[in-house]
Amino acid sequence: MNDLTKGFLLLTVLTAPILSGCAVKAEQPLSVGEPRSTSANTAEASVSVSENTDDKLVICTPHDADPMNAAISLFMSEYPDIRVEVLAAGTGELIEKLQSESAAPTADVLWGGGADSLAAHPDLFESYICANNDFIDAGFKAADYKWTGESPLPMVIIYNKKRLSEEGISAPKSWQDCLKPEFKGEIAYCRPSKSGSAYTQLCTMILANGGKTDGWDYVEKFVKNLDGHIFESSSKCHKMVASGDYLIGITIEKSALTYRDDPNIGFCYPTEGTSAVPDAISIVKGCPDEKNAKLFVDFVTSKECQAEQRDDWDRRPVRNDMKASAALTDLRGIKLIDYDFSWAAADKDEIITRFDRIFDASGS
Amino acid sequence: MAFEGRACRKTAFMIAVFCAFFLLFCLPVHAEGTEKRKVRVGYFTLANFQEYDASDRSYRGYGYDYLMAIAQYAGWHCELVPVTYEDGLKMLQSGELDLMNYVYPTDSTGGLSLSSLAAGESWTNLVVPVSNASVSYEDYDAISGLTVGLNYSSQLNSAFVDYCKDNDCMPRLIYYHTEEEVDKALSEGKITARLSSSISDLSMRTVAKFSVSSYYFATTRGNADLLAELNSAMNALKIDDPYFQERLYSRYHSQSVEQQTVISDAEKNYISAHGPVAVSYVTDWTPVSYEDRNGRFSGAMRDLLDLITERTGLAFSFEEAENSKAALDDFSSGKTELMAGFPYDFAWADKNNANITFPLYSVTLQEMSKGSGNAIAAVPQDSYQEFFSRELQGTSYTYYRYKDMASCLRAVQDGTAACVLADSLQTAYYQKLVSCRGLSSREIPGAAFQLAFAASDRSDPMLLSILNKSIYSIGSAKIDEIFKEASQNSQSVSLADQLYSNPGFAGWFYSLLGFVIAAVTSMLIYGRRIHAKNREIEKAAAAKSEFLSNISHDMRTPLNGIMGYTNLALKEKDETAAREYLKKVRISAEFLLSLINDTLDISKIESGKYVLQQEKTNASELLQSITVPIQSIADARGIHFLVDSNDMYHGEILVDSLNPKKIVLNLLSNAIKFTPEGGTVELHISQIPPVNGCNCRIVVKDNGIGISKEFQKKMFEPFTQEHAPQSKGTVGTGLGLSIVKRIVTMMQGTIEVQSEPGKGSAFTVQIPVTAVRETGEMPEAAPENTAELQGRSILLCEDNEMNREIATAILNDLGIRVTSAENGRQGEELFLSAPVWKFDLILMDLRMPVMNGLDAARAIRAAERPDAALIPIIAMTADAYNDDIMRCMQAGMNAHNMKPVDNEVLKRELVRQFRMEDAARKNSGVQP
Repeated sequence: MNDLTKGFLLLTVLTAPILSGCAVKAEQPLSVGEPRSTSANTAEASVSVSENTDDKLVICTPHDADPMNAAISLFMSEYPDIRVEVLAAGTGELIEKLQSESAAPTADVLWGGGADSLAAHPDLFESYICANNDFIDAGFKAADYKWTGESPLPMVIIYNKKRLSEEGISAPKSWQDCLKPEFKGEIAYCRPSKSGSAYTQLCTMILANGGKTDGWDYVEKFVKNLDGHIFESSSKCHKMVASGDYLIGITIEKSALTYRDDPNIGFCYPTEGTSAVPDAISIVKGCPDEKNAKLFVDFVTSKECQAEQRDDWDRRPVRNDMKASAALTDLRGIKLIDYDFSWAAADKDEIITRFDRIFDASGS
Repeated sequence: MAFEGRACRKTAFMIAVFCAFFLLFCLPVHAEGTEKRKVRVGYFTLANFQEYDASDRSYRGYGYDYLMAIAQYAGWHCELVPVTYEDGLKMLQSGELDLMNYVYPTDSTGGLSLSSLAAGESWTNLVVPVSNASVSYEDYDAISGLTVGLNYSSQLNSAFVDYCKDNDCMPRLIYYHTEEEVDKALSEGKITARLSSSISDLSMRTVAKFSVSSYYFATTRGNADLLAELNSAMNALKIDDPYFQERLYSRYHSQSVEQQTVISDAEKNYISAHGPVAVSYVTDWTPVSYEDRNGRFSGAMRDLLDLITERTGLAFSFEEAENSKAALDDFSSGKTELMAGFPYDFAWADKNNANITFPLYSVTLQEMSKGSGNAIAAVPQDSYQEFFSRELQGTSYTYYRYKDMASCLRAVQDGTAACVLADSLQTAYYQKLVSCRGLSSREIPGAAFQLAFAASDRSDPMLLSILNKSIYSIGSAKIDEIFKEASQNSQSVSLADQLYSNPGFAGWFYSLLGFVIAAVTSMLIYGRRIHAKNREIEKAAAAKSEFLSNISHDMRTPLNGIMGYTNLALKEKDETAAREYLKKVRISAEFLLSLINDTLDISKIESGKYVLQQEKTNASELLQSITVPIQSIADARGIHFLVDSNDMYHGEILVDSLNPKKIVLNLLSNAIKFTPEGGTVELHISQIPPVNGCNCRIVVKDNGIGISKEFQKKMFEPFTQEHAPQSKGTVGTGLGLSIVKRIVTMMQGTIEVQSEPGKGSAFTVQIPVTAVRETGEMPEAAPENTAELQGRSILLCEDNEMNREIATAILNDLGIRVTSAENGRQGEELFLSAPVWKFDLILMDLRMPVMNGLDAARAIRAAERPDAALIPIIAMTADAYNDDIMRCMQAGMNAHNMKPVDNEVLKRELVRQFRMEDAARKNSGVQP
């Protein structure tokens, strides 16, 4: 093992010219090397440097780094005169920021974050019917156009096939399966008050198992089967199943897909139906550059950007004229419930409080 | 015996045959074995990793040294092939190269095999300018407040965003199209941080590191022999010296540079809330810590603590202790929070309830003795007894304990003890004292330790953090310097100690004493001679001060004119009158310029920097360029000026044209200066044998005031002027003739003077010039008008706004369109973003921020576009030494134009360059 503990990346380019007399066409410089960081696009060095600093776009985004950078890179290639600024953080943190500066917003768009999180704050966003509106089905955009979906995210049950097989337990197929005694204390789930996706999962379970009123019976049984185990971070749900600490977990399809090459991990779309609440994009009300914000919403829902996000990062396109990547079940093959965004947004505090009360009661 | 003799002969014969056989068959094999394998290595340059200095053709860097070490183990001869990183990979895949360093597994797909061991590790840094003291390392709250510039196409971005999310920090990210735009944004303050894979930029400071990965040597796939040799050599080196790479790393990246101490808000609060930190120090530990004559805590520790106070605001109060035991007692009881001087040893620290800082300085344990017999050792009572005895385990000392170091030394001197044990800083100090006469010091093998500060483990951890940050930022070089200075400046003492500790000083002291006595005696005896000598020195000094006074006066005179007339012009409402004032400003400025040029010339000649440049010159034009301005001056002063050039060669000559001109102009202007109105000044130029050599004789004759015989003897010395009554009212630096004499000498010529006061002077100069054979080529004509400049487009790179304005005005007057750039980078970008052949020429200042003119010229020449190679680039700079001109040419520039800009010279150069450019474009098929 190399134990060079202090690392090393060097690498400002050192131009070491070999000087050969006074000829104008002297020998080429000895060499230039920039192996890691910026070699990819040396051609871009000649891109116009004219920078209209007024023409900018400030994006708030909770997206993962890779798809985020890829989309921004593509956007900048198409719109080289727009300077892009980014604030990358969790959805909750970004919404807090937008609320705190709502009198004088500095951001133009909130890109990413579940549609229900955006729907819960209609006062923060402007309505906008994007250029690709015709290609987006009604379930994936707000009725008042305050948010536009960009990538549906079905909720799934993830499971550890190896442990299930060792213990002779059948893989779950439905929400009801989660109530089986063999999964008691073996379900990885995040507290809905801590995670937007866990909240969507709670709403989905309620709606898929009896509706807004009767669905709570299911929730009570589900919480009982959690047996006091709950996480504070949604990413733990799939990680703890993958590690074998838990048999099953409630997570989003995107996270489950990260284990597609792991033969020990599987997932299912619950047979009662699941939600596919999309990651969405909204224009900030009173934003400094509405023109560029609209341009970006159109870009994010464009075929070009949707294709890049699908092909490179396995994200489901929201457009009804595009198919998901071959690795994913087509959305038409998944039973989807009629997710009530208005209810989920309006009753959020009440729903979360009720869940917490049930959970606390189950633990006592 | 006979048998024995035969046996011996037989044995000898056998040995001889064996040797012959061995030589016959083995030697060639051996010779083959020593022949080194030639390995073609792709060598791309990266700061601190693989560097190449073209000036002395030397290589350096972590990667280079590592390669050479491996080559030694493998028995290779490395041929370093200059490549770019990308080309190197391709050439390695195709087999044109055998080896390359710094290859990542992700870059090695296809055609490459990697070494089994990594050649090093790399990471990415989030860096801020060193001047930014608001962010300390991995201070996530502060990082959240940064605005980070990213290159939108960089692969580093995702890793950085992940890093931020993992650490709950949310800096603002601004995406740019290129690294250059990121640099520019940083220099303009639009962003406060950037990502950098470089750790060699001393103007930036790392505040976070992420994305660590290993890189390897790569060979062409299938070159199994070489790969095996490489792996074997790397393994062998690793086994022989496991820390080789770490030491190499330290060599090229050690933090020895002083940096600003960055204190977090929490630490600032601690400092302001906490009163002075009580520090224990030992009074008997010179030069580490001691009390000076005024009872003040002194020594290296005190100096360091003062520096920490200066950098952080953390104040200290000091508690003396006569020995380390007493100091430790105070420390343990809570009376003090800090120990000034503590072994950097965690076990020792733990035992004493202390937290230790980073190490400060390495010392060894030594014994000072009169010679042999060291079993009985004297140690001061206070020494870190347990610590020392642990360090000295295995030795057989019997310890005698004394009150202090002085007592120990006395014990050794009087024979009670054989040696005294002390650290190397102490022995270095005590050996300088007379009281230690006859004692020598010897290191005790294996007994070494480092000094640090110790903070009480009851103290807030913030104290340790502040101390460590300070130590790190002060840097090892500065700390070393503090300890060395303390060793030299500590309370040494009597003159006797000085003389003893420094034999050189003693010798000098006694010599000086002898000299003073001898000098006094000599003065008495040779008073007159000394008096005379003094007068000579006084005269020389007087000449020099007179020169300084003269030049000061001379510079103030035209400056006064410039300032005075400028003020008048500014106030003047009538344009015609204002123009008259401005003309006078110009006259004064030209005089000031000539004064500066003369002073610089003499300075250049004296420093050996004045180099003659042979170039083809038209003799007639050269003569004309001299006589025209002189004629106007002569006319203005009512002096007849006669020129006789009938015997002159009027064709092309090979000569340094500036210098004959300077010689003749100097002589003629002197002649006119010292010739009264109505007088005559003559210039005779003729060709003299040998004709082939085209030797030139120049005679400048006048009927002016003449030169006294006495002054003729020293007239070529710098700083001298004759103060004859007739010369009253003339001004000058006294440098003109010195310059003439030196230039003539440099040109291997001669100069003579015949002069008589009141009758006039005749200077005769002979210099060699070479005739150029007529080739039928048309000589380059000087431009008669500016027609061919009309409509041209020039890119002007100049950072100084005033200079930019002046140059633009001059060029616009010539009908030239001007696009301006404020630095080399902007110039490069403007050139690259403009349509091909938008610009006809580039005027380039050299000293500019962001990117200098030389780098900009190189970058432009390296661009892949048709006009990059052909567009003329003219340096326009105040850097006017020959070295500077050479550097311009080497950077790919076509000409050098000195500031201040002479309109005529610039105009001529522009015409010349445009003509050459048009011809070049025509030849390359581009319509000019």
